[in-house]
Amino acid sequence: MRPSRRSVGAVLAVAVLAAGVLALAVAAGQRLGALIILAAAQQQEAAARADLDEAASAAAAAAAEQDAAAVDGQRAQSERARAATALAEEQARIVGADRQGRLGRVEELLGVSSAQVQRFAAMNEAALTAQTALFNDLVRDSNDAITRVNDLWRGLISSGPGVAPSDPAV
Amino acid sequence: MVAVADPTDALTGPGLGPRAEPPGPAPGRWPLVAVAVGLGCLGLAVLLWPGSSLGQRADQARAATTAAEANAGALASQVAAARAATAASVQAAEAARDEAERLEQQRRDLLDAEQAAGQAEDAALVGLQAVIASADAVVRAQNDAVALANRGDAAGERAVLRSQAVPAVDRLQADVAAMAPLLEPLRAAVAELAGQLP
Repeated sequence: MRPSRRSVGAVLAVAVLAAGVLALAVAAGQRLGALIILAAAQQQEAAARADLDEAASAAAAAAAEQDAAAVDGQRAQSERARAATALAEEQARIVGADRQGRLGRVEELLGVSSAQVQRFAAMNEAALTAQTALFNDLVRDSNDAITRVNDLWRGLISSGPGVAPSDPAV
Repeated sequence: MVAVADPTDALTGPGLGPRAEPPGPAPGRWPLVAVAVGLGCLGLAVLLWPGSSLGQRADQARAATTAAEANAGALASQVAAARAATAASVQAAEAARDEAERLEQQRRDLLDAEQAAGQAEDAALVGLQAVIASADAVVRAQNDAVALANRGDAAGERAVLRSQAVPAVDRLQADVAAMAPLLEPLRAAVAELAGQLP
């Protein structure tokens, strides 16, 4: 039994319709999938760009903090250098004042003065007992001590602040 | 067997009447319509088929994402390096300030020690001035006595010696003895000062 021409046409028409519908569905699916993939990629790109902007801001802030810290560090180094210079100047001035030497001269002056007390007492005793020769020897010795004390006293006065003698005579 | 009602049968009413033609194409045309719809769907499918532009855009977005992530990573490294450098600078600045403060405190201590030594020295020099004045009084009294002796006035000499020279020597001895407590603080102050010098 041969199919009629109408039956063959109907079958072909159904085939064409089915092929068209299928192609349309596949194309729509493909496009929908591509759009979804593109949207996801663009979303990731946007997130990455946001992260990049945030990182750039953080880098700029960190660089500014670094610059500020460097400036502050230089200022601190300058302060340290100034403090070191001031200390060195004070030390040099105090070393130049030679207070150890002045103390030594004071102690030497006091020692000579203490010995001179004994000489003066001996001179008085010699004068009271008419021991002229002993008295004259003590006077010479005493005069040498007085000269030494006067030199020490003038050295003390000239080497720095202190009390000026009214009339150095010891 | 079911009897078919005669539309003209008066007992069954007017009947269903003649059937109208259904809407749409004529029964003989639906294959053409199906082919047309199928071809239309094919054309629409061709139009909807995703071309390469969408893929390229997605690839570009992925590449931009990768580049942005790489740049963000590089910036993060820079941030970490800058923060480390900042921390080091801050630490160095704090150390320098601590050192400056220590040096300044050392200078203040040195000046305090110098002031204490100066005060002790002034006190000692005041005591020495008293010693010098007492010694001067002794010398004057003894010179007066010697002058009387040289003029042959032995009695006057002895009187001056007893009334002036001997008390002056006693005063000189007392002034010298009074210097001892003044020297101790001076020695301590000068030693303290010397200990702060390089």
